[in-house]
Order: sequence, then structure tokens, then C-alpha cells
Amino acid sequence: MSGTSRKSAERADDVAAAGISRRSFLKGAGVGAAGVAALQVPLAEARAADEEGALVGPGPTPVTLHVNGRERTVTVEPRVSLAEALRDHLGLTGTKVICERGACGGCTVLLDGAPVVSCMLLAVAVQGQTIRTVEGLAPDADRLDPLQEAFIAHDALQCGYCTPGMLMSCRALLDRNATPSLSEVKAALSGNVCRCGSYPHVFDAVLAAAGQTVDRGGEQGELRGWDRVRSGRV
Amino acid sequence: MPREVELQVGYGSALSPQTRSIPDDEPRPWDAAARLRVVGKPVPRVDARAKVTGQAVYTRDVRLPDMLYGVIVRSPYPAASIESVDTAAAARLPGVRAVHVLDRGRVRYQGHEVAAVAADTQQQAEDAAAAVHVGYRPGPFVVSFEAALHPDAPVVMPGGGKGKKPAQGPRQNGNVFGPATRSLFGANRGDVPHAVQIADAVVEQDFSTPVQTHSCLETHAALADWDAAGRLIVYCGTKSVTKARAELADYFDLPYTRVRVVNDFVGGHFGTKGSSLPYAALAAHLAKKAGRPVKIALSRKDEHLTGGNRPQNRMRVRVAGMRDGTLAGVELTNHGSAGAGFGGGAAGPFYSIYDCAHVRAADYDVLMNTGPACAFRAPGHPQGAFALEVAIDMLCLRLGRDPVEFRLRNSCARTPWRADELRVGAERIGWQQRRDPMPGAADGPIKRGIGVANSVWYSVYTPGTQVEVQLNRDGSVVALTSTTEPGAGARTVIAQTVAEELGLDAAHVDVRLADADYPFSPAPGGSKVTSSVTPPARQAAARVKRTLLRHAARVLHADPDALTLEAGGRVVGPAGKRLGWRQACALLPGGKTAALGERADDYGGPAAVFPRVSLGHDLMAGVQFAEVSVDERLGRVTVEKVVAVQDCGRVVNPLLAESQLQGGIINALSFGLFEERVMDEAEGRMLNPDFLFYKLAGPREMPELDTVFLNVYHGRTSTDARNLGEPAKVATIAAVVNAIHNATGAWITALPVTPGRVLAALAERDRAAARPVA
Repeated sequence: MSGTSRKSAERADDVAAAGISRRSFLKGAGVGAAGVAALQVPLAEARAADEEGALVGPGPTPVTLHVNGRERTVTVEPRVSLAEALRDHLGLTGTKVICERGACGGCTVLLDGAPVVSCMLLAVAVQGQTIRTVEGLAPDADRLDPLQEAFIAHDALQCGYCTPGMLMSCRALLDRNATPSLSEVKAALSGNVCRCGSYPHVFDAVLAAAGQTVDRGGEQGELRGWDRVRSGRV
Repeated sequence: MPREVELQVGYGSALSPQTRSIPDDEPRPWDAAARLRVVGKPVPRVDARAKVTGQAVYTRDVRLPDMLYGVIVRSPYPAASIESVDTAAAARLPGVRAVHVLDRGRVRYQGHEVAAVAADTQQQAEDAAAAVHVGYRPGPFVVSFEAALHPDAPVVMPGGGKGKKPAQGPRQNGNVFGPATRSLFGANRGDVPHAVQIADAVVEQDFSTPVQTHSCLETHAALADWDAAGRLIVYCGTKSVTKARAELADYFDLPYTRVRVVNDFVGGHFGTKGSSLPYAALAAHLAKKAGRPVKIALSRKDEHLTGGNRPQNRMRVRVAGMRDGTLAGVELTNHGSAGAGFGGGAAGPFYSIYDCAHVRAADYDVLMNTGPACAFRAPGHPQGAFALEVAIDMLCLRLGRDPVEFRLRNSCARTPWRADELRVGAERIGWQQRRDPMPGAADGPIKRGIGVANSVWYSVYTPGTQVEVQLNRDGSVVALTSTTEPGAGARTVIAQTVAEELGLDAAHVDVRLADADYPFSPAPGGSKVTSSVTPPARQAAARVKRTLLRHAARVLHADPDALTLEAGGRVVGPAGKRLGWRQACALLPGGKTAALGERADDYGGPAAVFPRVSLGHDLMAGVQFAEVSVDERLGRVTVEKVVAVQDCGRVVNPLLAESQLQGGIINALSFGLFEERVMDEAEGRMLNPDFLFYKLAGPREMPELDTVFLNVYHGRTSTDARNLGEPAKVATIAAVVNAIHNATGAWITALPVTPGRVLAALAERDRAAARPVA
């Protein structure tokens, strides 16, 4: 209801003054690389980067990442997420940070081939593992991954902001299951959010990239005078 | 001198010749008989490659040398006066380069901006923002609709505050403003009390809808940089670079020539991102103080709090009908809350869907201490259509009328093609065979049903919209205009239009958008970009074509009027005279030519003129059908299928149009089934400012989508193209709720359709069935 009591105002002050956030918690606690990696295990199946469990931080520390076939070293605070390291320090801005909480899949990259949400991993914790981002999806400058071609052909994107994450989740799916069913595609994408509503065309694109015909209904011309009729079984 | 042309207009098999007077120097309009090569074809999105390779640079992705990161300090209180702002501790933190405090004595909602800091890294900037000490004196507030309506509620904006007020009758009574009895979309007509009095059946029902946040995946962002000459350059994730430039130039008291605003890609807007204030201005302040570029990107939480939203609505609806199946009158009393702002109207569908002679609507705005609403894909329409179209089905039940037949009878005079859309949609959903004649009577706990609802949208355009087309001697083609591209396909439809005129492929045309220095075209909003930009794009292309043919005529020793440009850009003349595209372009003096095209008014003039847009004469119809299954044990609704039948003038690109229609349906399903901003009434804060507890529709919730387009040719512009973004979202949730009734016999009158609401509606159904008939 309306009105505010002194008590609620004080409580709000406490929270504001404490300024507790996930990031400040991590910073204040100091970071053992192995320990933080362990926190992430259920989320992303990450391994400890530093088997010795040596303490690093809270100041900037060198972090070596194996990204898209290249070793790259950046100097970042241990609280910097993999997504932030990729975007702000390596210039790989194809990976998007959207929800900041692992709830939207926009920051999905492949870590040793498995899809992970890079906003929930610390860069320091994934040293020694191979990282593949959307920039590393095409085999070379002239050719695209068949999945990328299919996304273009089926218009599986609108604003395009969720697209890199979608592509990485789909690539991981096709790498482990070359001929997925529609429900398997939906399951593999269930962590990816699109606000434009590109999902049906994404499904079409993944199935097409897997060599499956996309059933469009084929009613073209059935209704006289209609310039276009398409039916998408998705 | 205007000239007369005969155009084939109409739809389906209902085509007829119409004479239109068109401006001089207008290419012959494409009508229903036009045979086109590129326009109307499923051309791949011209910027898709950039988007699938991660090379598309959105505002949040722009990086400049020595760039700093900015974070905004925001009020945790829904209402407070600001007594002090102490930035000393923040300024001393490592990496901090600039601090700016806004001149603001009062905050009116959680998330309201107070100050901003810039530091070397995002993390340092967040630390510094947390270290700014603001002395707030919290005041009384109101964040619930019911409470805000109360005469004793704390007044959010004494005296009405600043900003946009309701269009008409802004009478203030506490937090309640109104009523408005007309809008952009129509005005009251006829005599509703009389219609209700003589009607055979009257349905009176309350409906409510929640606040939906835009939840653009790219949050609001700006990167500001002052160059050595004192020019301000802003990469701004706005839908309107021209408005942003005006705002920032005014804010910093600079001539427009010293402010440049650009963006290449926008990660969705859906109606928000209309203003660059205050975030871009804060970035510019910080950049000026630090002498380095500063980027501010809102967090997901701040985006939920301040990034705009769809107002919350409480709608009381009366619909009256006659035994013969005629709609006698409709009435809406709507209270909409746009938070600490205005714009909660929902009357559009009431004015525009039905032919009914008696319509009365009253829109009231209710202020609350929450982030202000702004335009959101079809403002007021998904809410209004939900209330109206469900009430119409209730009336059909009372009158013993079939809902499709009722709509055929009452909603097809202004938009006769709606009848075709209803018939085609009914056939594709299986209306005759599959609609349960006895709602809820099927055996077993899983009930299935189908429902229908009408949509409506308007012909909106901006006269004077300009597009420039340039030809270079190497044969390359560039089109320039200032509108932005949030994913609806502006780049692609402009490329197709220019390519069609020049005999080229769409991929040949390099379309550059979203720079305030380019010729003006309007921001997306109101569904008007395609209808505004394609005619001037075509005219500019026709003009450079004429120049090119003039030069070609010289070397071919032919009359320019005897030359044509054919597929592949080949110049073809009499007696086998030919010139390749690049050969012809090489003749351009100085190696280049350019021309500007300008959007004329619709042929025959506009139906209404507003300051920034004009309305054409023709409405868009559109119908949607939904099939649902309802698990009566759990109250769980699964949308199995949606059939959408839509007109939008000439479909320029069926592939992209399908994307957009699907997107509208999905956004509507998300709105109607899942999304709701939840406020803590004790603290005045949003409880779910994230994507964990603010649920968006995901891949698993996708129904089968069957989208069908009907080209309707109005003969109003040289391309006859209209728009699709907003009409796609209007009818969906009403069709779903009507289908739930068909499945179960229970009416849902409040969104979102949560399992709890379904179970409550089922219980109400059972109680009603148990009551003796009076």
C-alpha cells in the first residue's frame, strides 16, 4: 500500500549503504581460482584453472585464454567474467551480455566444446581450456559455418542480439547430435531468449543445417488470389 | 503538374482499376498488376551476414581508444527528496576519472537517475557508483494501482509535473487524469446509452492487464566522445538519431552541426529508446570532464526499472448486441497507469475494429511512483483488443451467435478484406470441424479449444521523408537515410526498392542508416518506416537512373526516353544498342551521381495530419485464431497453434514479413501468458528486475505458427508498401483467451494467464453452473 514507514526507509538505507552485489562479494572475499571455479561447476561444468589453488587478486592479474585457436593474455581483476574479458579486453564483442545472470543464453560460448554462459564464469577460472566464440564459428574468412548459412537463408534473426548465443547453442547441439528432432532443438535452445521472436525461424534453420527438410506445408497457390501462403510447422 | 494514372487496386480476386492523381516526377506507381523482380520476393536480410558472424557492431560493442566506463547512480527509493550528494569517497577510488551529479532535487521512482561516475573499467565504475553517498529524505509513495486511485493517495506529480499529458481533458484528481475521449486512433461517436437501452443483450465486464517491460536484449547504451574541435560524437542505441541529436544539442547548447549521433545496429527497441536522455547526456558530461570517451550501458535491472514499459490497464467494457447478430454499441472506461508518466490509453481497438455506429471510450491516466511507460509495440492495442474481443465472444455466447459469423457481419465494412481473412483463417484452424460446440464438455482433464480475434492497425507515414541514392563509376550503389534498424528490415526493404528500380540485386545496394547527418527519415514507431522510406528510395533511384540513361544515350546516340534499365542493370536501347551496368556508370561525370527522393503525401491526401505523422485512409485488418489445450488439474494452458492472417499493403519481403508477424505473435503470447512486473508495495520496488523471475516466452513455449499474408493494394504510393510491426501483436492474446473459453467454458479476464488464474476461472465456472438459474 501507499505511504512509507520510517522502518522501511531505514532498511532501504542499509541495503544501499552495504552495496552488496555479487561482484563486490567476490572482490571482498579474495579469489582462489580453484575455489571460484568450483562454485561454477554446477552451472557450467568448468574445471579449476589452477590446480594448485593459488590465491590471486583482488588486483589485476595476468590471465591466459585459449580463444578461437589463439592464446591471448589479458591483465584483469579476478572478478572479471569470461564474457567481460572477451568483450572489453579482447574485443570479441560478438558475445553479448544481456541478463548478467545466466538466464538468457546471450553470452553462450563453447568451453572445451560444451555450451556455457560466459557471464557466469570468471575468466581466471577457465585458463587452459579451449574457448570458441561466434567469431570462431566460420572456418575461414570466405566461408561460413553451415549453421550460419542456414540462419541467413531462413531469416533466423531480427535485431540479431541473441543470435551469437543461439548459434553457439545450436552448434553444440549439432556437434553432439547431427540429426536432432524439433523437440531436441527446442530443448537445446531452452536457455536462449530472443525478444524479437525469431525462435520459429531458428528451429527451421537448425533443422535445415542438419539436412532435414523443413515442412512448409506447400500450399502455395492453393488459395486463389493470395499472393503468398506459407505454413510453418515448428 | 500532377498527372492521372490508372492503377489496379484491391485484393485477391477483388481488383479494379482506380484513377489516381500523382505528383509530377513520381515514377509510375507499382500496382497490383506490376511484375516485380526483387520487391515481393523472399530476399535474405542484407545485414544478416554481419549478425551471424558477430561482426555487427551494436552501441554496446563500440570501443574507442582510452574509453572509460560509466555507471549511473540511481535512487533505491520510489519517492524521495535529495538533500545531499557526496562524491568525495567515490572520486578517490582507483581508476575513477570523472563524477557528475544531476541537478535534481527529487526522485519519483526506483531507478531515477541521481549522478554518474566514469572509471577505467566497468568494475571500478560500479565500485565508485556504490561509493557515492546520497542523502535521501524518503517521502510517501504509491506503486499499486488500487492505492493510486484512492483520493488520499500520495500525489506523484503535484500540478501534473512535466512531460506529455493526455491528449484531451487533462483534468487532475489526485493521481487520476482524464478522461480523454479521443486519440490518434479515433473519437467517440453515436449514442451508446441509447444503443444499450434498446439492445437484446448487454455484456458488462472488467478486464485487467499487467505492466510489461520492453526487455530489449540490448539495454539502453551510449558512448560519448568530444573531439579536438569540441564536437560531440555520440554512438547512441536510440531508435531516433535525429531526436537524440536535437536533445543533446539543446542540452549542451550546441548547434546541431556540432553534434553527431550514429548507430549501426540496435538490439531491439519495440517502442522504447525514443530518448537519449539522460543516459547519453550523462556519458557526454563525464566524457567532457575526463577528456576521454565514456560508454554507459544500462544493467538489466536498470533497464527493467527505467527502460520503459507497457502501461497497466483496468478496463470496464460494455458491449451490446441485437438478436439478429448486429453489434449495437461498445463502451470502454479505461484506467491506465504509465507510472510516473502518461499514455495509458487503450481505446484504439474500440474505435477502429467494428463498424458499429455507437462507440464511447474514456481513457484515464493514473500516476504511480514507478518507471515511466512509453510506446510499446501497438500502444494500448493488445490490452484494448483483449478486453473488446473477449467481451465480443461473451456477447456472442449470450446471443447464440458464432464468433466468426458475428465478426463477418460487424467488422468488414471499413475493411472488406477482413472477410476473406476470417474465412481463410477459419479454414486453416478447422473452425467448422474442431470448435467444440459445448465449451468444456469434452471428456478427460485435458480440454482443447479454438478461438478467434480481430486486429486493427493504421496507415501511418511521415511526409517529407528523404532518401539519397548515390551511384559510383565502379557500379556501386549507396542509399542513405537516417532511420534506425532494430531488426524489422529497413535496410533490406530499401535495398530491394532501389535494386528493383535499377535492375540490380538487393545485395548490390549498400544501405547506410542511423546517422543524424543523413537525409531525414522517421524513427520506427507507429509502424511507418516501410511506408515512409520505400517511396522516396524509389524516387531517388529513378532520378539517378534518369541521369545514368542520359549519359548512356549520348554514347549510344539514342534518345534517353528510348532506353531502359533491365535485369542486371543493362542499358538497353533500340536496334540492339546495349551498355553494361559498369560501362554506363563509368560515364558519370566526376565518377559519381546522387539524387534525393522525397515522400509525397498519400495519393488523394491524408485522412489526418499530426505534427510528426500523417494517417492514410485505409486501415489494416488482420485476424488471428488460436488453438489451446488446458490441463484442468493444473490450470496449465498450452498454446498449440496460432493462425495469423494479415494484410500490410504490398508485402515487400515475405521472408522478413513472416519473421515480423511471428515475432508479434510471440511477443503477445509472452505478454499474455508470462510477463508481469511485480512491485513490492511496502518498499516501492520492483521484485523481479531480471530474466529469472521476469519470465519471457522461450523456445519450449512456441506453438505451431501458420502465417498467411494477403496483399491489399491501395494505390496510395509508388510502392504501396505498408508496415507490420504493430498489427502483428494486437489480436493474439484475445484469440488465446477465447480459445480457453471454448476448451473449458471458463473466462479469463486478467492477464497474464497464470495457472492460478485459470484454476480460479474454472472454479468460478463450476460455481456458476451450480447456481440455480434466476
